[in-house]
Amino acid sequence: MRYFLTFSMLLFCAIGFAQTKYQVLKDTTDSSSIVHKVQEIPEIEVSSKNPLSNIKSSSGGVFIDVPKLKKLPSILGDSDPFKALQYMGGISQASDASANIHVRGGENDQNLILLNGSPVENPTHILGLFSVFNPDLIDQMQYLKAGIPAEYGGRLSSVIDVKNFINPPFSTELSGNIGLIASRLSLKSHIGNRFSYYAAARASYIQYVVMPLLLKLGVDPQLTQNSFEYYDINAGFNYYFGTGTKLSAHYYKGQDMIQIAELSQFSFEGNSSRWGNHVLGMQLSHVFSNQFSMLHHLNFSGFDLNSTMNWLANDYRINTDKKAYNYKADFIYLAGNHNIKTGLETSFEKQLPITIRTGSNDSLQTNFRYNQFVSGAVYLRDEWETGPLLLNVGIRTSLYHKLQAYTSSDDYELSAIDKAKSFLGLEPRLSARLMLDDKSSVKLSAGKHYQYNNRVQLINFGLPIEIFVAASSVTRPSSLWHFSGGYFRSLYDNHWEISAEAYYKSFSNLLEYGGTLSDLFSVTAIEQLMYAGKGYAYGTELMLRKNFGKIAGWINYTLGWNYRQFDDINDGKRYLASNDRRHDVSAIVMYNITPRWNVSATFVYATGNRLNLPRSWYIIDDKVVLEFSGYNAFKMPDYHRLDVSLTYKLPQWQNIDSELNLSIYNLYNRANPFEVHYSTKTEENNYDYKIAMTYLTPILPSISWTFHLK
Amino acid sequence: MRNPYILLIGMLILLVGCYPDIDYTSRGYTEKIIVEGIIESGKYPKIYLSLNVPLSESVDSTTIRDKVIRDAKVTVSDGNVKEILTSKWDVEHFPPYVYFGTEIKGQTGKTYHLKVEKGGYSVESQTTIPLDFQIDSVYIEPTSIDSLRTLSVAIKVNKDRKNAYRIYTKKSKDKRYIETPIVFNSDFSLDGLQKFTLSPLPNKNDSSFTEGKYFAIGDVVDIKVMAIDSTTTQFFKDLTMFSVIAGNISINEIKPLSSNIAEPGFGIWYGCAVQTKKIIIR
Repeated sequence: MRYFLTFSMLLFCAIGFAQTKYQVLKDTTDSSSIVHKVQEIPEIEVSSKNPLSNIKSSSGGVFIDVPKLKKLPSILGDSDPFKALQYMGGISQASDASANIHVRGGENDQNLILLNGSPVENPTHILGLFSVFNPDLIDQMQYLKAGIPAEYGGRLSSVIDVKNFINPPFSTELSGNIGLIASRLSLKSHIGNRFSYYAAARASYIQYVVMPLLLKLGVDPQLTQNSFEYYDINAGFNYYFGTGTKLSAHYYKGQDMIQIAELSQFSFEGNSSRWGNHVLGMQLSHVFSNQFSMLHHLNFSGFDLNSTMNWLANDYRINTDKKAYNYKADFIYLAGNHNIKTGLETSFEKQLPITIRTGSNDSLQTNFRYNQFVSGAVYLRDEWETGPLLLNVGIRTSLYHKLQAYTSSDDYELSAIDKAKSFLGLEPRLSARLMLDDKSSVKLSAGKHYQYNNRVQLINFGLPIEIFVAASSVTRPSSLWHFSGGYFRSLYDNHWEISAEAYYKSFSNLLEYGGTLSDLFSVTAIEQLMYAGKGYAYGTELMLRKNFGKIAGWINYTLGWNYRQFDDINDGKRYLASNDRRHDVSAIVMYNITPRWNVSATFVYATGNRLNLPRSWYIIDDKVVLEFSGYNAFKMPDYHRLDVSLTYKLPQWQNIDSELNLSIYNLYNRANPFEVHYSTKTEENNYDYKIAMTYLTPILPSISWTFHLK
Repeated sequence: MRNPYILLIGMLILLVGCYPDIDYTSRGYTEKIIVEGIIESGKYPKIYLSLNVPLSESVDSTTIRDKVIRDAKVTVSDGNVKEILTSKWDVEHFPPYVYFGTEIKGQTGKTYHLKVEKGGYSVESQTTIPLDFQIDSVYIEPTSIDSLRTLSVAIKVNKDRKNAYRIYTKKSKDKRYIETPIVFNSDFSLDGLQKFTLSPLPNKNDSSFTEGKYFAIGDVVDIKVMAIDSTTTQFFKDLTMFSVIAGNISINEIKPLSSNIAEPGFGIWYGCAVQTKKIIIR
């Protein structure tokens, strides 16, 4: 038997907690902490997540059912709801072992990823194998790929909003996971009835456990010379003042360390990189009345990268650095069928685009100055439901002011590019949902988006070696018009759900790095090396999902086209974007064999990425020269992978619930390309070239033990 | 189905060990006439012609010889005189077949037109030999090793001419001129007297390999400086960059090599004003 409960106001009573009134607003942290709490009772599934929510919501996004996603195949022992996002429609991983994700043809830097409201620059660990979000702490996730409401801005393509610790614990809870590759431990507790807190840590130890094991199994020793490690820590608290006021804070620090012994037999070796995010945030919310509430955010987010690589017998030391300070205030007012939200945000950001040093005593180094800018936005939106129609109308006005560039070098002369520059953007947003009957709906959305700072890829494999480029007099803000529409229907008493969506995106002022590595040393403003151009992406997404039963899961199929057009690239002719994916399939199946045994599997298939590769060679001036076809004319081999997972829930011992998990990543050992490189060699009467693909992730079995102590 | 797992296991067996590779055959290879043509001041033109080779074919001397064009009609004219070049094997060069002139000699400041006709196709180009210049002086300077010296040349650069320079040296024990692999003044920003340090990059097979970029005391060194125009500069700048980074890995490469040979050809037809100097290292 199954019951679906909906609430508009909750009186929250629990042992150890003060009686607190909660307004049920779709947008507030407090409300969702209640609404999305899932409790499993034998034979009765009580879920706050209305199975019709995807049909009834106005936006083109979904609230992620976090408990359900945690049952997906745990990748290398870590069940990761954020990683599971990649099995949603419209979102795709860039390539094997890549941290990059692309939403509906957008670029990797166009995703606004939030942790309790604080932006996170790089959302994954170990080349995309794990997310930076500790799965024990995630209580709520929202993924918006279309119809993004006016309260979100600054990024063009999507919003992924992750909220940690919004469900306060009723007692002290200790959770953890011990695996072959990494382990984690988290503590959630409270002091008195007003103060609750959490602390969590994760760390990997691949080089101490996995690599020796692989060596014994006879794996290529070169592969085992590579090292990938990460750690992260989380801490935070909630304090309820008892008068409808709540103060919360969160802290996150993560670090990745990677060492690649050799990537190209010809010339690239000895890469050692460290990078990580740093996030600190505070939130203050207050419910004034049944109609009116407010929420204030104060955030700091930082990202830095230090990389060393040896290339053609030269050591290159690469640094990037970014720090952002952000304040945001949201006000929500309920009036009849209207849910009105307004607010403002402002931020100050300082970024070092990139520094590269090489030569003895760093004799050769780039001389880019720090970019500094302030940005702000005000927004107003109204979600209005009348009969079968739900309208979400909003306007966002974004302001951006680039401050004069900063440099520590006295002999540096500021150019026109470095001077202060301001931009103003009006971003209308509209989404509508019309219920055709009680089980089906159509949705339409349109919106304009601006993005004032970009990360432009310098090196096109998994490492996040990217250049920060802020809008300036020569690199205008990127913008997007996004139109989307779809049909949604539930079937068979809501057991099944189908949807078909179509989208069209028109990008302006996209950026590509237009120079070579050596060019970086010859200019002082990185903007001089950027090409700007347009982009178009369109496609159709089909989804079939089974929500309940012993077997549940879904299959998504996306048919998409993604083009770019730059005056300075490909003779100004339109070309396919590197992340063009003609076909993209993701399928998930979860099977509860018994209450204790659970098996699940995921399969992904995607058309290969586009890239530049030569098609012929010739010799001129005593050098082997490779001739290229059109820009991005080459298609990598298609990507596909099957992961499986088997979980056994162990009998409870003392107060410990635990389960054993066996997972196999890349079950049939598909060699999905990590990168393709080419190189030439010329010596007297001895010419050669080489084109080779590198593969990083073979079949990876893993076993882990997850426990939960209350 | 009696046992659905049989289908699943069958599919997995088919997929196991599935290693994709690059498909070279479906890459849209089109044949191009590769032109490397030079006319130096005071010398007859020399043209090397070959076809580009699909990536599916390996790099070896047989392939290179197979792709040499030996049946083209090559014409060079200076506006007044038109000469059809004759041809012969040239084992000192790759590709090892040269079309050469015997009538038209290069003169500084003069424009030369090239026409290559082959199998119903014809490609054309023209180039101008830059105006004459002088090597002002040569500097020999000590290094940390007593027996070795560095070498620099000073050239008087006229910014308005938009010329760059390719610089070669030939030590007495070497059989060939070895280039210092940088196109000097490739951004045309320099003006007036400019000093440039020579750093030849010998191959393992060159006798002077162990000396590297230095010059041994007592050695007799021929210095050759070639002035080239802006079109040629761009070509060799791109080519130098291409070979220095070996066209390699993951740095985004957007610009194709520039060329002054129209489709279906590719390559460079260039004139250069040449100055030489012979010195003894002391």
